[in-house]
Amino acid sequence: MGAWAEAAQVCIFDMQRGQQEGHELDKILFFSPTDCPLPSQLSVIGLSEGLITFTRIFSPEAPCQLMQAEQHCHIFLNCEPDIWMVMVVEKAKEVEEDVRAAALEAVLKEAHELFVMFYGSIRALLHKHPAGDVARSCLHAFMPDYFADFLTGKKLQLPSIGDGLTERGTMQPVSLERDTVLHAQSLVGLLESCFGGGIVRHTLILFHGYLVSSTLPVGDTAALFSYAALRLTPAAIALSSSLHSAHKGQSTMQSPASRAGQSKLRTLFNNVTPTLAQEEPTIPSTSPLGQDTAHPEEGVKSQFPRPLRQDAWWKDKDGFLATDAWGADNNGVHPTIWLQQSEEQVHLCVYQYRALTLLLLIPTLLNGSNSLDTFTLLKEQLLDEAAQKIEKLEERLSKEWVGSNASHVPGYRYLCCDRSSKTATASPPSKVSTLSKESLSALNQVRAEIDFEKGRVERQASEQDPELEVCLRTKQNAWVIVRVRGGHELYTVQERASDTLVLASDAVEKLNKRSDLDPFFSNGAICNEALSWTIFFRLTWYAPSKARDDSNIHFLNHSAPLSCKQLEIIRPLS
Amino acid sequence: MGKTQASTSAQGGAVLGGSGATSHVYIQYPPLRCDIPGAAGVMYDDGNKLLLVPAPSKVYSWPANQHPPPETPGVTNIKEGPILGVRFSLDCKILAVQRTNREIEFINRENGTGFSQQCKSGTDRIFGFFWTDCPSCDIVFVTTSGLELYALHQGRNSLKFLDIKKANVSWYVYTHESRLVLLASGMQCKTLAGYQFAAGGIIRLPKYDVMMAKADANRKPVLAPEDIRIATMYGRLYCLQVDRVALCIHMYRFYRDAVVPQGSLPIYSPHVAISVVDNVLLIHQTDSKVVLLYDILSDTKVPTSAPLPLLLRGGPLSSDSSIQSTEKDKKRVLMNREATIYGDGWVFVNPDFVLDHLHGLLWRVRLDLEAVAASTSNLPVLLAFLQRRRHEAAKAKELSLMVMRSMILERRPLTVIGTAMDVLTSSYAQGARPPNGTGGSSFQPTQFTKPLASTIAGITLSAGPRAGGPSSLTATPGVQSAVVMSSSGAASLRLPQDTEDSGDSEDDQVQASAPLRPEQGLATEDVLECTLDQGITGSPEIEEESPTSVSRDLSSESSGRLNSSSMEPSVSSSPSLSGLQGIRMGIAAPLISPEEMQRRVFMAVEEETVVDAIFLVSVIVEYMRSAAREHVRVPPGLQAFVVKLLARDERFNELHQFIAGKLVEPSRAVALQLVEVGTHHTPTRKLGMEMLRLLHAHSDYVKLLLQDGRMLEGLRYIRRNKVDSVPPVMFLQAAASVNDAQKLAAVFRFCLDFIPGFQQTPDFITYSSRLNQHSNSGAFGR
Repeated sequence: MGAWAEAAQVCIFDMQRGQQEGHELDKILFFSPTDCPLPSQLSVIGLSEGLITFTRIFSPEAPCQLMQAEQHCHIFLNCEPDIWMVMVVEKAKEVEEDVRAAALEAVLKEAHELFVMFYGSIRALLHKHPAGDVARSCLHAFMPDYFADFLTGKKLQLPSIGDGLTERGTMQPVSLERDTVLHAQSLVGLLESCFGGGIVRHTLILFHGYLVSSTLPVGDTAALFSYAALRLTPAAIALSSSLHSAHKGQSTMQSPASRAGQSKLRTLFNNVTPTLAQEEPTIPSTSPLGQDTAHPEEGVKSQFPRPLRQDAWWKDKDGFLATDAWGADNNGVHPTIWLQQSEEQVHLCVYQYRALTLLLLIPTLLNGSNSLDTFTLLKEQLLDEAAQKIEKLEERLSKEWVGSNASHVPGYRYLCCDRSSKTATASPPSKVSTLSKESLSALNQVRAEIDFEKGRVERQASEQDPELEVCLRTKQNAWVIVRVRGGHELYTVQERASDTLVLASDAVEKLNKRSDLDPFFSNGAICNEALSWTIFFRLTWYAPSKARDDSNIHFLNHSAPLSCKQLEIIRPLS
Repeated sequence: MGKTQASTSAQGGAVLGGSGATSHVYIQYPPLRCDIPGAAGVMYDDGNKLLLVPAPSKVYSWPANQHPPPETPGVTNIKEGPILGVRFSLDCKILAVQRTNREIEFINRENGTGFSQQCKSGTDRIFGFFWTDCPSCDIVFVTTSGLELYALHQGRNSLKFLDIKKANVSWYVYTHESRLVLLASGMQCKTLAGYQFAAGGIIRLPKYDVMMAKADANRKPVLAPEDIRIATMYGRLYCLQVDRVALCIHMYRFYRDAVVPQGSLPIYSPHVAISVVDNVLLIHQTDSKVVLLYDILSDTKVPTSAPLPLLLRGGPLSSDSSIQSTEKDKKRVLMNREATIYGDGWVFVNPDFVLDHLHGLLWRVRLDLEAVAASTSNLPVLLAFLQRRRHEAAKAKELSLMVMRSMILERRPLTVIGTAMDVLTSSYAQGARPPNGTGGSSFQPTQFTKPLASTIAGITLSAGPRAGGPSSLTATPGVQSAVVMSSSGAASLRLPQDTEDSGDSEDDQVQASAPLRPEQGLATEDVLECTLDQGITGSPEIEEESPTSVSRDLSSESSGRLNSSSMEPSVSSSPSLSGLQGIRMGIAAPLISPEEMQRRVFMAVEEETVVDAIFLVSVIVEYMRSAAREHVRVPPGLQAFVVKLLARDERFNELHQFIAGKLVEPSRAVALQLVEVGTHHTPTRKLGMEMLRLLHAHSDYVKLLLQDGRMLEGLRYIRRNKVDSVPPVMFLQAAASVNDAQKLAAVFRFCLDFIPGFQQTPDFITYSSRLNQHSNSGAFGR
């Protein structure tokens, strides 16, 4: 059991199940680490259930999000009706700031989103197989793979305050010239109109890890994008194929370090330790855990797709990506995914040309028995019709592509995200890493505050989006400025000690007007023009301890026409 | 008709369009009849587009380009005597009659006076003559030893000799359309020298030899005048040479300082005739009685459509002739033999006339665009063809639109549709672009204004075929003799008087010209000249000053489209073409503007409801792509239409991407459409409002805020942006109507603070009293 295992526990349980005494275990759909003794599993779940039930009295819609204990922090996600994901994170022993809960919650959200995309919703699985075995197996097949990505060496790297300028679950758009966008769109049109239309239902175009175009609704796009970014980008494929060849060469032996790590994790998650094996009988006979644990690798692999396996995909000679994650041996089993919005199951067909990745979604209903033939035919046709256009587009994109530092704006560290389209542009991580711990910590705190404020406004169920502006000066004279308006959020950190509030604010205004930040809102989307709420923090003597009440926090609520005046009064003060 | 036509064309079958017969080239009944008893033949004066019939003491003239043809000819009295050639001066005031091989007589129609002119050297013979509008001379005699240039004296009663361009001449060809005279010399007559009497001055073209295949080793073939044809297509000058041995037509293109072979077209028998109709090259295979259409600007050397026979249209059936003849006797019915296609008496006259010597009929060859459209299966090529038509621009445009619509309705492959869009937009872009900025036209300073003006005049003339006619016809006793040429069909038909065994003997040659195989240039007339533009016409001085640029231009042009081995056809041809078409913008062209695409293609298709929105959006994206390539602006209306289509399928994410990627550019129309479709999708509505705000469409934005009940925000916005189109009083009304006293008070306060003199307005009284009521009744808080 690695050190990380104590750092985080993840459990998924269904509050509708196991309501009778003695059947409590039936609630558990997934628990990690799986070698955790059942009584402690039950105690975590019992505590969570109790909290949820209690808080529901006051807030039926959003019962419980977070519980801070002395040593642990519990993050709750109500992913589906009555199905909860709970993550228990041990607090760091150093005097470090806690990472904001929303960042951890986002991890759970993403895990659930991906799970639903591959297997359908947990509730649907439970409906179909009331015994719960299928749902459990799927979760056990999926979750370890998902969390394996957070594993570096032995340590589980959950989001930290260093990730303050990232937003999980958003897509990175790539800002392109209109001509190029037209070409991309024209390619999409061509693909989707092939064979008289209807065969290729949806198309996603990715360039490196950036989204060029998608015909899916936002939610599906975001989910599929997250998956593609994890497993389908050229870089991921390169890694995967190296793993794959190693895998092929040495049968089931894993040589690369990452694979070893993954395998270790799997072992941990999958409960193979003899101690637990002995406890098997205590698990209700309906649970599939027993069978699973007997032959974890083979069993899971043959029965349930493991799309997040790290060597799941490799590139065929024809440019299409192939996988065996959905079926034992690529014998005509094509990867399928579920679309959230249309609740439709579609085949996923991926084509890669250099840095360009095309994800084609093809309805499953089309091909009954001879799906293999249909696919072969389809692939040939696609290559015939579109190969030239694909090459051309790739060429154009490569020409315009300025590298991964394209989003860097000198002098700023920023994150700009658009909630409605789930896109985000941010300073490249290498640049963010130059920020001082102090600033990151302040940012983390402000973001937590903003999350809270946003949640409050959202709960009020008003039609209007929250409109906020926060300017904060840290102890080391860095400025953290946040603007939220109309679903757009801009977080910036400027470490220029000499700046006054006015200068810093103007600098943000300038950044805001950059067209590449958000193509449409090139004229200053998130401007404070219509600000009705201003939160003003004065944290110059902010202490890293949890003395939040030490800092001066001004919430200014004023009727609109006065806001500017008041701001003017306040600005000179700081 | 639209529907059926569209479908037939789309199927690519050879079913014809509305006209009821299988042919894309036809001659229209009734022909121009010129059977004057005792006439000495028929001549065509291409300078004035007159059909001239010299009788012993009179010259009858008909304008050739009227339809239906005029019944009564213009008459000019002349003295009796032999007539070898007749031509009116270009103002139709002087009739020149070639009486003998040495002498030409001139008759002033206004006062009846006359004079004669003999050629300079006593030993020379005059082959023929032509009037010219070139500034340096008025009339040119072509003699055995070259060209003699004369000008009219002011009193118009004599000619002044100006110059002689020496050359050995075996025979010559001239068309007024091209202003170009080609002089053949040498044993085989295969060395051609050319002069152009252009509006900018006389240009001498380099000599060149044509290629001729030998029938057998011992006999050298001799080039006959009817083997050579000057053709003007798209303002470019070509020499077409029929090689009856090698069974092909060689093409040469004239440039100012070069003559460049442009490849050759196959023919299938030695008996062919050539017409040019609306810049389309028609090769009549007179043996098999079919016509092949070639469009020199299309990239391929394949005929534009399948070979089909030439038909007579609109004529009474021969069986009815007895009945018909009982009607108006003026409308004499065609006898059976008169209606014979490719009859013995047929001579093809430049560019698109057919003169039937045996029966005294003048036919005009026409193109049936509908039939072409119906018989062509390669739709992008067809569209390109239609887009280049100028004679029946309106019809070509309708057909283009129809083809485009049917392509979409039938869900042709997107690539094909995209290519078709490219064709339409590029021809629109070239047509709409101002003529400057292209290759040679940049050096057209002041002295070019005149040619330009004349060009435009020529263009209007050509656009309405009837334009020049009426005035000249009634008042004109002109004389301009026709020049030999053309009519390759002549080989098969021997004209009565025309015993030319091809122009070896000078005598024959003269005779040959006398009997007239007229020829003319009506359609493209001067266009070519100025279009020769870079090629030929430009003023010589300029050319010398900038030889490099010109030659570069030429060389690039010389690689033009027709040339199969062209180096860079698209690049080179487009600039030269654009200049030309820019000039031509004055005339009707079948160009389809983006607005028309929107209204008459996309929206029209959408009304059909068979096409799903996804496909239609893809098609519009294709259009936007081709428009972007040509830098054509896509109208906001079309972009708003895209928004509507996307929203109809609830593809909001794509909609947002379209806007983020600027495929749909911000505009008021788009923003309002976004707001409208966003009624049930808040983010889209927000996007629309944001767009309005960024576009500074203040009043729209504020009204929407008001509609949303966001009054305070609206007021703040008004104040910040100094909007005065929305009176704050509207806010008062809105606030009062929602019955929210707090809001009303806030708005009222705003008015009080920021509207000067608000206290004096009736609104102040109304609303203050209402607020008082509220506060009294306790509805308004404290």
